[in-house]
Amino acid sequence: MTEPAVDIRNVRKQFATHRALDGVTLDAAPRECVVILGPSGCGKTTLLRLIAGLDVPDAGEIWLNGIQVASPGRSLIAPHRRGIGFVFQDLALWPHLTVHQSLQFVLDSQRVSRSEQDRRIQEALKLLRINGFGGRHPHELSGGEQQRVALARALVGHPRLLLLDEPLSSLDADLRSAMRNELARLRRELAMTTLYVTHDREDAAVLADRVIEMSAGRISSVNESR
Amino acid sequence: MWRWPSSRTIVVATAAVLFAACSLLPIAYLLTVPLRGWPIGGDILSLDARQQRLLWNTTLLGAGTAFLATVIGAPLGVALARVPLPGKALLRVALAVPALLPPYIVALAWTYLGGSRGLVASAIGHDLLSEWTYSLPAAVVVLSLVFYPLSMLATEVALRRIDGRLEEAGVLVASAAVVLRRITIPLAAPGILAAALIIFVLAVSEFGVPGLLRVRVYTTEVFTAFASLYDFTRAIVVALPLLLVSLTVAVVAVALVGERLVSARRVSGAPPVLLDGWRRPAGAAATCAVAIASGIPLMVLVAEALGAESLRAVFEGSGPAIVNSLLLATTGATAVVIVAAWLGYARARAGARVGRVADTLFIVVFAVPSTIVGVGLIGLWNRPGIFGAVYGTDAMFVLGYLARFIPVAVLAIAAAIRYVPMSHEEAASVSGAGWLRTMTHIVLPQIRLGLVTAWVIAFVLAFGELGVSILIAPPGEATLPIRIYTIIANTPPSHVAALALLQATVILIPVALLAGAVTVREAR
Repeated sequence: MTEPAVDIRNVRKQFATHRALDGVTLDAAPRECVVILGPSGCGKTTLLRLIAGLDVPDAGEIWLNGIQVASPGRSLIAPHRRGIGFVFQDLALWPHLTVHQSLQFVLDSQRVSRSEQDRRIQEALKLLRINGFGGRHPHELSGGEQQRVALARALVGHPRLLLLDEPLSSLDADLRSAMRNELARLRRELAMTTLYVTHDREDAAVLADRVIEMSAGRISSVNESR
Repeated sequence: MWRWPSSRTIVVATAAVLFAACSLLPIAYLLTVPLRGWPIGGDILSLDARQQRLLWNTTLLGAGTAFLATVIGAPLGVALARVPLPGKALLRVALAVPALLPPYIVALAWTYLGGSRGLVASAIGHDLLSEWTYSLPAAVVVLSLVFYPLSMLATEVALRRIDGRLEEAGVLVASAAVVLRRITIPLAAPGILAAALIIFVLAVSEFGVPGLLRVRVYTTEVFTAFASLYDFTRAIVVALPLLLVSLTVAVVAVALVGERLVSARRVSGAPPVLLDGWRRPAGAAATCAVAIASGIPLMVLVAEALGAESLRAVFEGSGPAIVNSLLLATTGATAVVIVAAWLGYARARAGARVGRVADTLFIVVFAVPSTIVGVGLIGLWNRPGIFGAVYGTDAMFVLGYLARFIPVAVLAIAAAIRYVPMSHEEAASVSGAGWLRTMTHIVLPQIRLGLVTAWVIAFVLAFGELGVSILIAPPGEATLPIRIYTIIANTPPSHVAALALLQATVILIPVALLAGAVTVREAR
């Protein structure tokens, strides 16, 4: 039996008096796209942050590709060693770096050689259809272009797991639809394990292999989409 | 997430240890003197007539300055925040200039204006103002002109943080003046009051102005006890009540301001222009403030300096002090920013409770009067062994700058770092960057202007520092402030004025460059 790419076991997380996650257990198979649906404040983003290692669980375990990365109160593997690409809700594009420099920063951090860096950056820019934007800063890009840059940054390091935190929430309806189709195309091309957090059922319908609904820090239902 | 032994923990802990060693130990040394059996316990509690007079003068100086500086500064802050004045960015810088000049330079200018041989006496033919010039009320006026920008900027910041919708809801049912009085000012009141308390502490901590204007207060008494009477015990006895007052008031001020000290909260939308019709009176008042607080003192110094026979005569004997000051202020400001950058990061990313404790600590440390820091440093370092070897060197000046100015730089840098979203760091972290790499490539480049601002502030404060320097200066070593302060009595006023003018120029050049950079950046 294949090991799950993501294996979350009975995870709990509390912030002051607010219980963000209350015994969440879920897994994702390699190359599977799991969409996590739920209203604001239900714990979706907290779950992604725990997987990425940006927070630690109070209880439970998190395993990635058969390796335990977090135990109660402890991060066992640092975020940058977990092989994760993350697209933040606010995109978090570094304002002082150009698109090219942002991608280069990721590859520098992974100690990728210069020649390989150039190849990977061109590959990512081409994949996201932003070939001509390498020299631009974030403020010189439209909303859709910024979205593509955030995705390119998440993908350029060849992560094993892609985490997307409501990546389309800031876009208008038309752009949202176009980017949704773009994400579907990327999914087909890359076949990468993906956890996608959203409150939009249309995102789930287009992208998900499996849809998990969350409510008040718990998983309320699981539906096979395809 | 803070884990041991991450590079973040090690770097921040190292900076914290340096801060504790430089800034906290001298104060702790003084506070623990009574516990070490020194024969001063009873003296602290019993206020003899002399002590009572000192306390009265010090309180009057602090309270009078806080009141007058607020009366001048708060309305100017309201004008900057709510009146559509032309050239506001430039006006703000011009209004803030007095706070950048060392207070004793402003006091010096006023003595050249109102002294018995001053410009006024020369113009009208008899001595009209000299008795008043060397008095407690004059010290209050001079310090108010120096510190009003703090009240002005605090008021402006407080008003800018008010959600415009609160005022818009008011102007639907009341006049602008009523909204200002009943809604805007009460909402901004904690910030204005906190600024007044900080001004109180800075005024009672000031050494140069009361020293020059011959007003006996605690700071001058500490200096006299140590430097003239060589009585270290008496210096500590006099220092302790002042230290306790300063610490108490600083704690109250921080409690009033709370998290707003380094808050990066941006209010959505432009605030309503409440006082559109007040352009002319507000513009006239601002122009008057610039003229009186900066224009007149600088013009007086220029007029006085023009009487010097030659530049060579002015700078003869002062060259080493000028070079020393430039080198030491540059070294000190750089050292301050290096330590403060990491502490500023830690402060910006700390939780509310830890942040509030840290803010209190930083403000309290900054509020400690300079002469007290000087006495503390001497007590710590003037002893046999390695400490003694350091004590006799210029390194003491840098230690003094670190002791006094790390807190200001930390708060300035923390405020800048608050504008860098946490997600930028997290994105770097999941991209494979360790914390140090994230700091050097992602966080620090985004706050370059904040770092430069902190450096300029530290440089300006260090270049004008007098209270600590005059106590800890090794034999034969002097900085420009020490040189100016010590030659006033036996050197032609034109020479002293020229040196003071040089000091003001060196301070205002980096400030003008920084203001230009900020203006260009805001215009983009």
